[in-house]
Formats: sequence, C-alpha cells, structure tokens
Amino acid sequence: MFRNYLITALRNLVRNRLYASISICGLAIGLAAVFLIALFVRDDLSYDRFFPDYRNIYLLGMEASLPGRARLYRDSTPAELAPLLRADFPSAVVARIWPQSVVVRHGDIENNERVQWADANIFDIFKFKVVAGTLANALTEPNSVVLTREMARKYFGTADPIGEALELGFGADDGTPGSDRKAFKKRLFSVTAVIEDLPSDTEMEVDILLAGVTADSPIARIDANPPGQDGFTIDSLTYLKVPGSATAREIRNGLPAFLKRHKSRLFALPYLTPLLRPIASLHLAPGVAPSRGHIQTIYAMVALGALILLAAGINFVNLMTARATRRAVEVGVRKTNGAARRHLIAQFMGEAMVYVAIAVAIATVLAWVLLPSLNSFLDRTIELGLLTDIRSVGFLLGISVLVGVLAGAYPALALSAFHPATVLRAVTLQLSGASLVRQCLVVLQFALLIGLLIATGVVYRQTHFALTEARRLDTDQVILVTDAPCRGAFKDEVADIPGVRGVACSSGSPLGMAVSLGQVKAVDGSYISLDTHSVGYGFLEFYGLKPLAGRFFSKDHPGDAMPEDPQASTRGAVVLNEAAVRRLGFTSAAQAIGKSTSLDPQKGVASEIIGVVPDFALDAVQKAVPPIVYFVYPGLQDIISVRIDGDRAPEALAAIDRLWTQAGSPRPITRSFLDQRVTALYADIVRQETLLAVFSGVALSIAILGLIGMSASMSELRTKEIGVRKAMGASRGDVVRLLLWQFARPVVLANLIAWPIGYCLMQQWLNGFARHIALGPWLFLTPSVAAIVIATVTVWRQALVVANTRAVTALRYE
Amino acid sequence: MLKLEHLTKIYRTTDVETLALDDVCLTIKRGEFLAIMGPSGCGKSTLLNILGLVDSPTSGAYWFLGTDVARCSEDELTLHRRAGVGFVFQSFNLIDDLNVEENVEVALIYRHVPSDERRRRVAAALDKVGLAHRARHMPQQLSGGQQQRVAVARALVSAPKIILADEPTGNLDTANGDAVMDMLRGINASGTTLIMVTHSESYAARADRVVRMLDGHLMDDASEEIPATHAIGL
Ligand SMILES: Nc1ncnc2c1ncn2[C@@H]1O[C@H](COP(=O)(O)OP(=O)(O)OP(=O)(O)O)[C@@H](O)[C@H]1O
Ligand SMILES: [Mg+2]
Repeated sequence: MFRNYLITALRNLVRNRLYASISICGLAIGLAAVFLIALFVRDDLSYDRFFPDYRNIYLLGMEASLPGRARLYRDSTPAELAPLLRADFPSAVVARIWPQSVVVRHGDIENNERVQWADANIFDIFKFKVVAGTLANALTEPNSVVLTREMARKYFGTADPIGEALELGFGADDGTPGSDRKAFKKRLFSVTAVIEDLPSDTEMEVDILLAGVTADSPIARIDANPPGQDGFTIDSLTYLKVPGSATAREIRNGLPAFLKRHKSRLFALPYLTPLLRPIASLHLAPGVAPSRGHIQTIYAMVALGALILLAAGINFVNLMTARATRRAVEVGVRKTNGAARRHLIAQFMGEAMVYVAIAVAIATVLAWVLLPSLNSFLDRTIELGLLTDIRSVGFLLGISVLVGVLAGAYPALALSAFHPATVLRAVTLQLSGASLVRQCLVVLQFALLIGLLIATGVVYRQTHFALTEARRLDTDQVILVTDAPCRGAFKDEVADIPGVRGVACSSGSPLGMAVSLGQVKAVDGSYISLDTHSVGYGFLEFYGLKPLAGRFFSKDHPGDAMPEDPQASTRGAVVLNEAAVRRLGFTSAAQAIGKSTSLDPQKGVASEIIGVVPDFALDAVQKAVPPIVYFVYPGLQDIISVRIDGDRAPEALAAIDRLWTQAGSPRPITRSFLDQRVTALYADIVRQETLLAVFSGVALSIAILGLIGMSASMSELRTKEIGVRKAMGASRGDVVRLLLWQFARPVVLANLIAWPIGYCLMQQWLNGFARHIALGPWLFLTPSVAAIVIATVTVWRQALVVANTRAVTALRYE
Repeated sequence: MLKLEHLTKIYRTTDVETLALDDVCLTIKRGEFLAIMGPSGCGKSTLLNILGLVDSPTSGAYWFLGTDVARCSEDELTLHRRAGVGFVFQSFNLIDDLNVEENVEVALIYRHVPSDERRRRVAAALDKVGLAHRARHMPQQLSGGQQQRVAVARALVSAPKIILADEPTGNLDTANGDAVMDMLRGINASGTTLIMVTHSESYAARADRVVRMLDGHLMDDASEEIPATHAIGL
C-alpha cells in the first residue's frame, strides 16, 4: 500500500513540475530563512552559556537612578569591593577584571590594545579552553600574561609562545588614585598560557589577560592602598562564582547590609545600588555596551520567521488544494475499491510529508550555504550544529513535521471527503468550501505582502532619517585624535599643516560624549543635574552649528573660559542647547541670553549664559537629545577634532602622525574618521534594517511564487469556461480582464487587513525612537500599488496564454 | 442476494428536489446478469450507485447479501463494498499517475492482500483481459478499448461477488465494445453477479434479464424473467 502511495506521490510530483517546484521551493526558501532566524535567535539567547557552570557565575554591576534621568546600568564596580566581598561571603569565588588601553609591542609589531588586568583566581570562575601552557597559577606571578590564540598569533606568529616576553607600555592615566599621570612606563610580561578565542556569543572581553598582582596594575594599587572615603573608581568588573543559586540569593539579599557594614571604608555613592546578575542574562539585559542584544530585535525576527512560514504554508495549501480536483478520479476509484477515509487522509498527508521532506533537505543545504554570509554580516560565529546539537536537529524536524501536518491537513481532509458517487459522475468538481478557503488564503497572502512592504518602507525611512539626523553635524572629513593633550603645541602645529582646514578641542567625542553630570541652577533657583561638556573655542562652529541666540565662546572675551583656580570669583560663561533652555525654565532662547546661572551649588558662583545652540543628535536616535550645558575648561579636553581636505588626506594624515611622534608621546596615535564612528553608532539600526529587508524579500518572493502558482492553477481550472466564453464571442481583452479582476479583488480586501495592523505595529516600533518620522499615507499607498502591480505582472502572462488559446482547444481540454 | 424494497432517492439542491428513484422494488439473484435500460436522466446511474454502495437511498430498504445497508454509515458501506463489489465505469476512471499493473493493483490494496499474491492475481487478471504485455504502460498510452479492459481487470481482480458496470461500452466502438462485453459475460458465466447499465439493445439482449426505467420508476415488466435469452447466452 505504501509503495503504491509513494508511486502516486512521486509521479504526481513529476507530472505537476510547476506546482511541485513552486510549493517545494517556496517552502525550502521559507524554511531556510526560518532555520537561519532560529539560529540567530538561539545565539542571542545563549550568550555566555558556553562557560562550564555558567549558571553559577554572576557579575556585580550597578544601577544608577539619578533624579530626573532614565536609569543607567553599569557593568563595572569599584575594585575595592572584592576583598571585602571575599571576607564577608567566603563561599563565593570573587575575581576582578580591569580593562585598560595600553601599548603592546613585540618586535616590530606595536599597537594600542585593550588588555585586561585580572585576579589570579579568574580561572577558578571561567574555565577557558587552554591551547598552550596551564591556567593554574598562570597569573599568580607579577608580570605574567595569558593571551588568546588570536593575540598570540598576532604578536608571536604562533599559538605557543610560552615563556616569550611581551612589552607593554602604559601608565599615562588609568585614573586610579596614586597613578602617576605623567609617567609612561614600559614593562616586559612573560607569556604563561594561551587560551582559545572566545566565540562571538559572549559579553566578555578577553584578549590579553595580565596578572593583577603586578605592581603597575590598578588592581594591585587599589589593593595596596584602598582609597576609602577619599575617592573611588568604577572600572573593575567583579565576577562571583557561587556553589548554587541559594548562595546567590543570600548574597543578593545581603548586599545592602554589606554596604552599610563597610560604609566607613567606601566612598559614598548616593544614587548607585549594587546589582547581581547572572552572566548569561547580560546580553539581553539593559546595559551600557552598545553591542548588547535587544529583545525587540528577537521578537521582530521571530515574528518575521512566523510570517515567512505562514506565507510558505499558504502556498503549499493553495497548490495542494488547487490540484486536488485533478485527483478526484483517483479518490473515487480508491474509494469504490474499498479505501476508507483514513486511508486517503494518510495518503495525502503522507504526500505532503514527502514534499516537506524534500523542502527540508533543500532548506538545510541552503541554510548551511548561507550561514557564513550571515555570520560575517552579523560579525558572529554561529554554528549550524546539525551533527553535534541534538536540539537543533529536533527543532528542524519539529518545525518540518508541524508545517507538513498543518499544510497537509486541509487538502487531505478535503480530498478524502469527496463522495465517490459525485466524483464518478465526472462533472467538474469543487472541494466543499475550497473556493472560499482559497479566496481567504489569497487575501491573506496579499495582506502579508502589503504588510511586509509597509514595514520595510517604514524601517527604511526611519533609518534614513536617523542617519541624516546625525549628520546635522558636519562630520565630513573629520578625524578625531583621542587621548590627545589639547593644551600643548601639538594642536597648533596640526592646525598649520597644509591640508588641515580646522581644529577644535573637546572633552569627549561629539558623538556619544561621555556622561558628565553637573548641577546647574534653574530659573527658580533650584539646582538640576544636567549633562555638562567642556569644549574648546570654535568647537561648535567647527561642526557647522550656528547660534540660535547670542554668541558662542570666543577668545576675545577672556571671561568665557572657566578659570583653572577653583577659588576664582567667576566660573566663566556657558552655552545652552534648546533642551537645556527649556529644562532650566527659560521661555525662549532669546530670553536666556545674558541671564546668569551657576554650575556651583556649593558657593553659587554665577556663570553668564552667552548663547543657545540648536539641539543636535549626540547619540543614537533611540534617545532624545538631553539638555546640555557647554563651557570652556581646557584642563578637561582630551579629544582633538581635525577637519582635513579630502584631496590632500593622505599627506595630511601622514603629517599628523609625524607631529604626534615628534611631540614625544610614548604611545601610538589613536585616530579615526568621525563618519566611521557615526556609522558604527548606527550599525545596529542599519543591521536591523538590512536583516528585515532581506527576510521581507524572502517572504515577498515566496508570496510571488505562490501567486504565480495560483494564477496558473486558476486559469487551468477556468480553461473550459474561457473556451465557452470565447466561443460566445469574448475577446482576448475580455478574458484577460476577467482573470485580472479575479486577483484585483483580493488585493483590495488585503489592504483593509494590512493597513490597520501595519499602522499599529509600525507606530509601536517608531515609539521606540525619541525622534522618528510620521506615518504618512504614502507609506501605505505605495505598498498597495506595488501589490497590485506584482499581482498584475504575475497573472498577466498566464492570462495572456489562456486568452490566446483557441476556443476549440480550450473546449476539448477535458 | 440483493433486494431493494420501496427504495427512494431524492436529490435536494437549494431550489429543486429531484426524485431520482421512486419506490423501486427489485430482487437480483446470485450469478444473474441484469441489464438496466432507460432514457437519459431516468435514474440508472443512481440505482447502480446505490446497488454498489457508493450512495445511500433516501428511504426504503436494501438487503445486501443478507444485511439491510440502507442506513449504514460511510465506514460500514466501505467495509461491505470492500467485501463484494467491483466497478466498471463509462469513462474508465484509471489513475493517471499509475501504470496498468498498479491501477489493477489498487483494487487489492485496501483488501489486505499480501503483496506476492497481489502480483500473481494482477498478472492473472491482465492475462484474462489480454493485456499482460501492456502491464507497464501508462493509461495515456492505451486506446479507449484497452483502457476499459484494464478497468475490467481491476473490477475482477478482487474476485467480487457483484460487478457493476455503468455503460461500460458507452465510449467504445463496436469492435472494442464487443470485446469488453465478451469479457464481462465470461466473468458472469464463472459465477459473478453482473449488473450493467446500457443503451444498447443488442448488449442488453445478452443479459439474463432486462429492467427498464422511466423517470425513477421500474417498468412493470421489470421483474419478469426472460428465460429465452438465457439459452442464447454463451
Ligand atoms: N448529485 C446530484 N444532485 C442533484 N441531482 C442529481 C444528482 N445526480 C443525479 N441527479 C438527478 O437525478 C436524476 C437521475 O440521474 P442519473 O444520473 O441516475 O441518470 P441516468 O439515468 O444515469 O442518465 P444518463 O443515461 O444520462 O447517465 C437526473 O434527473 C439527475 O439530474
Ligand atoms: Mg448515467
């Protein structure tokens, strides 16, 4: 019996090549997309789970709730907490990692690198895979270093440089109390072990691990000389490993008491509360790292996957049912020969399964072929794991069986319900309710198509908006030299280089300036905490900004700069942005000019408001532009913006590098194009948009495939009718119109579904951005027109073929 | 062995009711060859479908091999059908995707015949209708007469007690029609009850008995036997 079914299934497949390939290809493409989405989502959900015993590893972070501002989350904590934690919670292993930028050199290879100072017991928490050497005691001796395979290759050209020496240059300012700001030291470190590179699904940064006990290490300095109540740093990542979740709970509950207990030994941090989070939760938890995942992206991807699967499923059902009428005779014959309904259900379900199995095979190959591209696009190392991961095989099979059952069920039930007496009368057959079901599916298919076009359009416009909004700053041909002294001669020398058009200083990149909060006096006399930024003369003009009112800082007004001496009777002048004007309670920009405010809540020394600058995006558009107060304080400025002439860029850059070396700086220059930073800032949005576009494209092509199949089968079903109509004098035009109208109606209906749903969903998505585009009618009308065009184009060819058939042929068709 | 008592069949569509069979009483004996004749639309196919258990009457009783099947469910009908009925249709109704052999085999699949016996019986049936050499052909590669012979082979392969044939020669020329008739007659001669709808007086004349229908009624002479024709039979 099975063999007989298989034969019918395969021969039917061969005979109906067009339909079979449409349903199978559509399903294969859809499944491949779904597999990739599933891999991506799984990767996002499984961050840091590759560490053995990850469930018991926690990161002690901090939550800052500053008045009037959104909550901030920090992964780092003061390093002085670790010894106290070890003493108070002896069952936990506590280890710190302190990242820092240093100069790393071996032979001719010299770079600025991120290194991680670490406690020796870090390896008791993280069981890294060892490539060479041993991890036990790898960091117990001062001046020992553990490299990842990548770093070992980079500096030594081999994965086994055990015992070799690596030179590190550091010390300019790691900010710890007692660190010498001037001295730059060079030290040799000896390689004790090499570990495997971490996979991409980690929030941990591990490249070059340095022994924290080394005298030059900020960890060692803090341990030797705890700052107590005199100061603090929040730069160390404090990891805890506990025996079980009960201990974690105990520690979490004990933290407030712990802080109170050690109040006398810690700097008071009023707005900060400690936060103990499992490392596996960090990727999707709110945090400062921009690379963090967004649960919204995961939802969007899952929704997209479901839509793609739905589109492919609809095709499948449609084509199976469309062909069903042609199988009527078979059903009749089998029934008169004693087939029970369940036999036929089994047969047609089985047939659907055969199709699905082929589609799954193709999809697996497709996913396997496309995964490397996805990986390089996302900058990840996702693996298919077909051979190794029983869960991904299970998921694959589960999805396939589910699709097979869902898509095969309706055709199987409808076909098996044919009454043999009716079938054998050999009149043209209609499945019970089939035409209604098919109409609904076509409408749904179009609604999906229009909905996806709307979503793609909105996301594209918003991305475009975000990118141009950021470019309200004139970032063209600007390079940023970071960690650069602004007071020395270097800046003036750079300005004199031919090919350099302008130079300006600031206390942070114009994009994503580090948050530095100040207390600023409002109109009503109260103090409000606002962002404050120190900029050099000409900085705002440098970026193409014009005052909305008043003027910007100028060397001609000596009173503009904040004096170095904190006892001075003036604190210089300030420029506000529009948001700050509103926040401080002024009614207009003009009204604020000439008024005085204060940045000094202790003594209330006044500062004059000399100008107002328009709000400009400093950060990704997800955030609103915050109120900002600008002032001039050269001591705080360490970033030089240089605008160069595009034509003379190479010479100018070379000249800047030469000046840097001549200035005698011990570290290599760190410079980057601002445009690239802008792009990096928006990389997430751009990535999201590209992914959405690609997967929408997939859904779109599946929907179009489905339409081609539908139009072919509908025309086929109506061939006889059309023959009769032609015999009665219908022209070709009449016939084409007839077939086109058949598809125009569902498009109209589909709009009624897609518009409201699309509007609600996209409005919600846009609300995630502080600044966003408006949902104009064009964003909805264009997709509808596109859908009609797509429908017309796909149906057109088929309609023409049918319309051109001679009436006799059509009539004889049965 | 088959007995219809006051059988009625009404087709109801949204606006019209068609009385396709009106108070039909008929008894058919084991081994009999019955021909049904009548003008188009008089209810012949309806009657045959009910006799063959693919349709149910609206009212009345139908004794099929000793059980009243008039009120049986679809599933019960399937079981009875499997046990004893073979069909030959005017439009052959072969499955396009299966070759000759496999088409014949379909009649055995649902009757749980083991596969080697199936193969043997299919070969024997094809032999009987003279198509053993065409076993691997697809239906489209055969002439109408050959296709109908495949359909006959399919009907007889399961060795049913009753074969129902609805205008088996309707789509065939005289030569092919005669060949199919000879075959059916032969099957009947070996003991299978044969009920055939036909428009041809000469084929009807080969039957043991002819019933005539008009507008859903059996004509009065229907229950009369015509012994003379029996003698003429093969
Ligand atoms: N499924 C149905 N729905 C409604 N009416 C039907 C249906 N099947 C048959 N009829 C009607 O029942 C009557 C008998 O039909 P039937 O097919 O039995 O005629 P027939 O004697 O076989 O005719 P022909 O010689 O043309 O095949 C006809 O009037 C027909 O219109
Ligand atoms: Mg008929």
